[in-house]
Amino acid sequence: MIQYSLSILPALLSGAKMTLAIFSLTVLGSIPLGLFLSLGLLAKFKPLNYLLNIYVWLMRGTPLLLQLIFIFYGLPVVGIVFNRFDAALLAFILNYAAYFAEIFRGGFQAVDGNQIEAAHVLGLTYPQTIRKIIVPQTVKIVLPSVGNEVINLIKDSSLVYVIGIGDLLRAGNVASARDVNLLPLVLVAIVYLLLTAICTGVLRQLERYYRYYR
Amino acid sequence: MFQLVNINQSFKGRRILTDLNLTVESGQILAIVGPSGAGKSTLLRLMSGLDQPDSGQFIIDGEAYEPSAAEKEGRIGVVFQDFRLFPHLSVLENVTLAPKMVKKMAKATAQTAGQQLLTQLGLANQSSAYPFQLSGGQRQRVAIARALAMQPEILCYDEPTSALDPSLVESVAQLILDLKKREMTQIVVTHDIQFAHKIADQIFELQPNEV
Repeated sequence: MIQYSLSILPALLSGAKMTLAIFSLTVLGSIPLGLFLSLGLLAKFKPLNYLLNIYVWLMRGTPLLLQLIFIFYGLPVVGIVFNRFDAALLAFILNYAAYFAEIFRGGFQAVDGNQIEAAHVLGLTYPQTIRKIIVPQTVKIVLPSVGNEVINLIKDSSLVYVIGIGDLLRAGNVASARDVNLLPLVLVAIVYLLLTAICTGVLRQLERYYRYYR
Repeated sequence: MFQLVNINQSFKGRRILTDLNLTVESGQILAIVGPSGAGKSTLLRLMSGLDQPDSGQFIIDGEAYEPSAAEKEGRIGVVFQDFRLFPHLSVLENVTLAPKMVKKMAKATAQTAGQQLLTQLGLANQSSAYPFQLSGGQRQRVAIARALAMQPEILCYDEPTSALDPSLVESVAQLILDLKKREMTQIVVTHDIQFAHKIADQIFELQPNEV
């Protein structure tokens, strides 16, 4: 059994590499985009709020799987063609940015507004107040929700199989079907669990760090 | 000398301040008293630039002053009723943030000045603590230090006794009188007439407007 596991390990690891690539690039792309969108959601400019609310509604209101299919198979109909990896990344970043935008919007609104007045009286400009007072406190507020999404993303990344990308789950699936053996899928589960455990650990440390104030 | 000239302010169609005139001599303490709803807080918000009056003028030492202007550079400091410290910053960081960001003071200079202020206010050992670790009285003194760090010409207090234990009222009065010795012009908004008499050179009674 150990020998068999070792024999399929290279395939699983190369799948895991793809899973990690999609995961990390999505995190890197969707968190800044979500931050940007949340500022738009909070802007006192109705048309922009309206537009962004529709965006969030579309992204959260349809399955990510459908969005993947649409971007990879649908957009070429109107002449927009992405390769598989770019299409997957685009779908994931657009989708997760919508969730992050809503999380950040709530986080910003949860910071005590009276402090903004205190900063204003001290003479701080609005950008300084955002940078020094609001954002640092928002990080602490949103950390648990962001963590939830990040852990979701590890497993959501397996949806890329639908456009033919060889990620971890697909590698396990292929091996399992070829060898008529469930062991590859057990190994896949273990790898996902390990990834999740690492993420959870990092998030715990971050939360612990932010416990220095209340 | 700080003057308020013909200040008018309405809120949601209700007149709150009508042709208000007030003068505070430099280095003196003015207490503004009056029942709730008389416009004490409104007046404080105008002086600190959080709101703009419908009409009227503020004058510091003979020159027109616009509290809500962006480049006001903290000439009027405010100690809020609920202190409004920044919870994610240490006591010293609370005090040095504005001097660093607004006055562009070097970090070391701001820290030395801040530490000195904290020592004067009896907070020498609290400089690396966070607001949640402090008592109400200590928080108030941090708020005062934070305002003083901007070297304001006028320091305003919103109900400085209301969030405190009654036993601390005496020490707040002492603190305000100590600052007077250093020639700080102070304006204290309070509903506590006794407290006002204890500290003030001049008491201004704000009457609620007739509806």
